[in-house]
Amino acid sequence: MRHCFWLFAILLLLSTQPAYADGEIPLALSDDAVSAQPASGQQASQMTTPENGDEFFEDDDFSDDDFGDDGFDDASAPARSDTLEGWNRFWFKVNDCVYMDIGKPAHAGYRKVVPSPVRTGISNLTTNWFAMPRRFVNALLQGKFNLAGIEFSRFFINTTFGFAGLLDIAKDLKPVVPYTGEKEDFGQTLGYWGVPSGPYIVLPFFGPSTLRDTCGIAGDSLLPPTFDPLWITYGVHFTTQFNSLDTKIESYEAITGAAIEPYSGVRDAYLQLREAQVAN
Amino acid sequence: MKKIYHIFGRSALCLLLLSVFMTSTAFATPKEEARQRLQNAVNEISATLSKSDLTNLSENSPVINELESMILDIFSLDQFSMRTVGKKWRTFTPAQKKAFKKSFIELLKTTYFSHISAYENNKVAITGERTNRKGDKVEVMTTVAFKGKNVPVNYRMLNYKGSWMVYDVVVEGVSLVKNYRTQFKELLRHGTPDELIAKLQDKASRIRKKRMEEAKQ
Repeated sequence: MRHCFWLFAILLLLSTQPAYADGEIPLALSDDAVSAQPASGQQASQMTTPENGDEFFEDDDFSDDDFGDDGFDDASAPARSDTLEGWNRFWFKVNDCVYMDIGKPAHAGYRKVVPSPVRTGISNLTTNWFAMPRRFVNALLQGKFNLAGIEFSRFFINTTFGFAGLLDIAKDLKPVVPYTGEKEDFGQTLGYWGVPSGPYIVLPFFGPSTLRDTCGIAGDSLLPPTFDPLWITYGVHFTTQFNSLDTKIESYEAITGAAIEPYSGVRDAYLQLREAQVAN
Repeated sequence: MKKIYHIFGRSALCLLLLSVFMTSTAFATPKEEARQRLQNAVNEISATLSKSDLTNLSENSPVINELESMILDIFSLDQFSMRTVGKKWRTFTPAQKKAFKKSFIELLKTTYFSHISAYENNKVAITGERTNRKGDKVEVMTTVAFKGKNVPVNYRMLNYKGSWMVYDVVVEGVSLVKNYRTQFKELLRHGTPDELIAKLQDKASRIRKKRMEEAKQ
């Protein structure tokens, strides 16, 4: 088993070899969250999805005349079932209080005590040890070998030269293969293999999810590393979440801020986001 | 005489070919036109942002008004409102349409103007564009540098009243039009257009009130 692992690792590294050609340090990739290649002429146009080939805004429910009868009233609705609306609305309200009235002030206090470099360090560490394995495995499960290679090399570089992941060294290295910046998880893997998203569920404290994505979270939690008394694992996960709570609240506020129906605004944003992530 | 005709005919042919050639280069494809329009707007807006003082902004600051007119020059409020409301837009009276657009832009302005002071030379890079099958709509893909990340923001554009206008903004795969449509659909299923307009106004005034309270503290 161990030999297989190293063989695998070497194969992955070898697949990124051509990148050494120009003599610059290759490997891995930019920021954790880079989502698309910056424009550089040709490359950018190659990367965009085939022209005219896919659905894209045709499914925007607007045909020739602006209110074409291709029903944007209900035709697009069935996929967006909200059978658990009662439960969802209840937990949406509770979560809203938890985020805005407890989480936000608590994180403001935390920011005063813990300086920004430390917070970044914590974030880098937890990303390296918890997020990377998840993204790597799920990229493999979706047959995205380039992405898996990137995740692996990022992990490799940051673990060896970045003090076990405390520093995100790989961030400043040039891209080897076009990196879409996706963060794969098991919910996306299930979606990739055709599992429908199922009903929308607002999880207590975790927030918006679907049946499929909830199974995804459960699946991802089986991945190593776990610690022996299980509460340490939970503690680490809690710290990870809390450490980056400000960015989460920021995007939450960006959606609810201009919404006149925050509940359905958040639901739609979540479903659209996941749909885009799965399609990617 | 015949020869003159011949020469005349040949030069006419040349002229025709030349003009065909010239028009084909002069009129760019929709993709290029849309991209150019967006690029110009982005350049103009970022130039204004970087030369202005963005501290102590209020909703009526001259910068905000200047930006608003620039944005409305590329962003079609007509198209946006129509698409967010959907089919029911037909049942709106002209007065309601006008009131809806007015209160919608008010809400967007109140919500987003404060974000402008967070501008720190964020780079916008156009990464590509594509058209739909019919070729009457163009999606221009960009990334915006924001807090060390490149956030993908796509602008969906169509030719409206003779120029390329943005009718939808898609941030990380989330379409603004679709998002509002979901919200409005729910309200319009049981409510009237007037109630929807009142809701928009109410939300805007609540945001203003909240902001005033925060400023006092």
